[in-house]
Amino acid sequence: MSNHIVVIEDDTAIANLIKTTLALYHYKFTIAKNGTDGLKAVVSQQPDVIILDLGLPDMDGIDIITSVRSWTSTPIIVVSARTEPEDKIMALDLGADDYVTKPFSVDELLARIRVALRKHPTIDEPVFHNGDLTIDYQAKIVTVADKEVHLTPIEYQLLTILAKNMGKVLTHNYLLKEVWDTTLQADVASLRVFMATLRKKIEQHSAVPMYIQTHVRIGYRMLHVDH
Amino acid sequence: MVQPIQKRGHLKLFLGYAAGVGKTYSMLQAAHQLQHMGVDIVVGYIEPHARPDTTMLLDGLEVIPPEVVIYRGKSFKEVPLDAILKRQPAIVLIDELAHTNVPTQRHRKRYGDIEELLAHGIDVYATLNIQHIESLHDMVEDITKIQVQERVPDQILDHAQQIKIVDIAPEELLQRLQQGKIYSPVQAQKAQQSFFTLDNLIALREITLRRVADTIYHKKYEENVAIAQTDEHILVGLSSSPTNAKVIRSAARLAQALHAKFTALYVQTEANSINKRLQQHITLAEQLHAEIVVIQDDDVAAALANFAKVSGVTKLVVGKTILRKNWWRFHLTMSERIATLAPKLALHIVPDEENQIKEKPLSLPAVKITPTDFMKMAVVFSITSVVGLIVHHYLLSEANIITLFILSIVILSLWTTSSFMPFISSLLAVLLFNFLFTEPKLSFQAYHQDYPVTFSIMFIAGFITTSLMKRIKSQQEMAVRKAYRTEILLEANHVLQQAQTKTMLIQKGLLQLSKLVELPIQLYVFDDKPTTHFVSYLALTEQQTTTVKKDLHNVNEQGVVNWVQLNQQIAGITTDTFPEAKAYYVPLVTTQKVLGIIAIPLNKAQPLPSFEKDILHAMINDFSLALEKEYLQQENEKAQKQAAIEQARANLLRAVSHDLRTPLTSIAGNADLLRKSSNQLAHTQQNAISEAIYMDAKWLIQMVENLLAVSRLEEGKLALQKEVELIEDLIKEAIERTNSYHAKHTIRYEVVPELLFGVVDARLIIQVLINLLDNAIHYTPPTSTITIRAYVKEQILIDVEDDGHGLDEATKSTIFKPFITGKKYTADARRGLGLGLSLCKTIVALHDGEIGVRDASPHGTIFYFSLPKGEIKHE
Repeated sequence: MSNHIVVIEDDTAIANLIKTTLALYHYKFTIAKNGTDGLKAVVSQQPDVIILDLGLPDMDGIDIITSVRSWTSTPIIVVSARTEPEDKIMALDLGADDYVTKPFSVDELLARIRVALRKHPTIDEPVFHNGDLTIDYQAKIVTVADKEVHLTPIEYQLLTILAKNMGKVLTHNYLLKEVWDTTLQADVASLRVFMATLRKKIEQHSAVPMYIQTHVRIGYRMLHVDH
Repeated sequence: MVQPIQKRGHLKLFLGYAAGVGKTYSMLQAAHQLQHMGVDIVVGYIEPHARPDTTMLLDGLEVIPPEVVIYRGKSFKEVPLDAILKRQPAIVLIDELAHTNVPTQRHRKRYGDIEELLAHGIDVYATLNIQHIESLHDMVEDITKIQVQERVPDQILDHAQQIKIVDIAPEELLQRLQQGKIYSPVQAQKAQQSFFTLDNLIALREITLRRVADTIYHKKYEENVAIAQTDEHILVGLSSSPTNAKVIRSAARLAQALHAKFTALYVQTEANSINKRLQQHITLAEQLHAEIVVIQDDDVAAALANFAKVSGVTKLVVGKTILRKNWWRFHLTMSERIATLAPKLALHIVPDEENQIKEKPLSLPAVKITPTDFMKMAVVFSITSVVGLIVHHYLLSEANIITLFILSIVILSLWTTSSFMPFISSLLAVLLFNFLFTEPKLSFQAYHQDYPVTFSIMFIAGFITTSLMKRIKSQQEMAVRKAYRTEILLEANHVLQQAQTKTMLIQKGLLQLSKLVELPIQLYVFDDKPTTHFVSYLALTEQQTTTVKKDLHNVNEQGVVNWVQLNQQIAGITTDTFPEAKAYYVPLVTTQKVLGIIAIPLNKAQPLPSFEKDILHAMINDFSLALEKEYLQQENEKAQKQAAIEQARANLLRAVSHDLRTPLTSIAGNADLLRKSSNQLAHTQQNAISEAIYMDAKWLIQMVENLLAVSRLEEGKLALQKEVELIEDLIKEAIERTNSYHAKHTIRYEVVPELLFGVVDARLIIQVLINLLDNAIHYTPPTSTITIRAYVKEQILIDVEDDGHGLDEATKSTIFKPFITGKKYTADARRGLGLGLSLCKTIVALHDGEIGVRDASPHGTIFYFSLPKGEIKHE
């Protein structure tokens, strides 16, 4: 594999763990011990994925996200020891794609890297395919295993937003803003209801029940489903 | 913001005996000196008409511009109170202490502004002329023949820390006046004719010096309690008579001169009710440091004499006018009667005629009979006349008819309320008798020579009987009212003692207060946060509710509330602070802080009677004590809770550090083994060791998660972040996080209905599920199946069922007990039990649910817990 990964992590033990794991699975990588070096590495290496620890000695990881997002959409996986969901939500809202929380397992990290690397069909394509799920954007028709699924306008909107951001964790706030034009917390409950009904509709036909993944307290993500 | 009220500021008075002696000039000079010494001094207010010399002195001083108030189309300049409070200088200069503010100002008088500044720890320099002192008012008036409208209570002078007498010779003052240094020439001429005569000035100067000397002497007394023991006790009677004020002031001067105890007694008879002027006299007496006593008795002289005897009064001060009053009372004047009743009492009779008649004496109560009473009278007398005619017809004696009339008068007096009824009915009875039953009949003439006597006796008998009846009736009414109020007070005390919760306490308290004053009551309760308050009110009728809302719930009144909270003083209508407010505000002050404020909407036409006010204050006092008790109890409970949490935390820490030791020993030992002797170990052995390290590390991770949850729980129920969550999401998340390191067990779940929502703190409930799953995985063989079931009954129920060996009864009964208190827990017992399950129990309890364990069939264990149902709006 020729995928290049930039790891920005100041803790030596964790950095070593990631290093060993990545080497074992034949990824190319650059390890940066602080934010400044990390940004330099991102600019010079043009990596395919960035693994970013939020707590860095010289700058806040959040600032790195903002900075990187100003010129590239390279997937960012945030590593965080912070337990409150607010930090993750903030990182995601600013453009991070995914997150792992310490303590994480090696398997977990590898899974996230694979999701991030599987970069997604171009957004402009008129028809979206993911496993058995097809969305015809022009006709506004959704099918699962060639059977048409009837969605309400809001469900359809939610599905297309998730599809267009496949692999990326979308926060409640983001979804609310896109669909309802509001970020009032009270509406998160209705978002959950729509998401639940949407999921029942698109996944009841399928043997593989995981198009949409729930991140409790944070948001939702559409996963890539293999045939 | 509530700030502790700091040390009171000091007041320095620049006292002069007349305008133009140079008070303001002297004050400004002092200011310059202090400023030169580096004292933070500002000019709060200097009269704009200040003389040129004075105005020049303003140069170089910081002047806070006066507040310009528009009132009834005219603009006035007042003390910029808020600006000064904001500026917080060390000393502020304020001219003309005796000034009366525009009614829309916070305080009615300027000395109210000064009081507030002092209360906020700001020192005040102020100027004052002697003629404005309340107790000297009559003397000044006697000398100058000019009535002084603006008066200040004596205590201002008595409480001033420093008094500087600004004195010049009267001749020099007159010279200054002539030079036009004080007033413009026209004014000066006018002034010289009336006020500024040499005699007047000399007298005023003498009064000033003597009054100040007296104050200093008085202060010495106050400080030295040993010599303050004086046997003198001055009593003055209060009445609504217009001359009473003068008597009160004389008595006060006497009391001051003798350093005597001073009491003002008001004898409430059925004939006099508390009116506005009496209220003024009571306030005056209060200002002059009199103790106010109210006694109910119809015989004023007897009441005064009795009180004097009982309370050891040495001197009774009465007005001269009292001597010619009461001519009907057995030809004895009141003073003579008092002298008879209390022979040891010294009577001081002071002249009390007004120098000028300012107000007409109160007009006599109008001879008024209500229409209903008039009807009643007509009915009674008609019946009496008819019965009388019948009696007369049978030629029974006239005596019977007279008795009959007297009876009708008595009936009328019981049946009617108008105060003139005894007189009118007696007179009418006599006239009717004369008209109908005496020869010549149907005329007001009477032939027989006995009749005039008969008529007089009949009238007098009727009048006295009915007057007595009326008096008894009204005394009874008064007694009933008094009893009712006393009862309310007692009841209030009782009710407040019994109230269990703060809410109940507030409710009951408001109800009792409202019963007493028969008005709606508004209460402001202050929470811990300084600015927020919780408002509740109690209204008896719909109309009262509107009144409360309209009058009290607005910005102006809010300002008064804030002021009262900050200054811990009574304010609002009928007081001198915020007299234009719509309600009477009483703070509930305790030793620690203002717990709340009681507001009673009043209007100027109907102030609270003095008696009611006293009871009201007593009751409010009771109420604040009860509130304080409640508050202290709460604080106590909080402290206890805090202590319990501390204890639990210490226990937890001890238990956890113990619990951590085992897996850490295992990890460190195993890793060391791998590091040092991996060559000697077989591949399978190496694998087993790494597996052990991995498992122990995983266990530690779970432990840390639980500890994090515990740390959040310590913040209590409020720290829960409850949201509507899809139960399935939570179960999936829990399985995912457990599954990642344990794939040997089969884990299944079923949720009915599929869209099952609960209002929960997602992270904590996931933690509960993880702990239950972990336990199931730990204590069952690897091939077991674990099933999570979520379904709805009255609550949401979640079962975690395994098909393992099950638990024995003993374990089941103790399994949820926190290991930190369980003595049976031994150091080597299997870890993982304990913290996990007791945490689960706590979390579920915080969600108002229950957790338990039962056997599964055919074998295995079911851990179950319940959660409240979530309701969700569906669009």
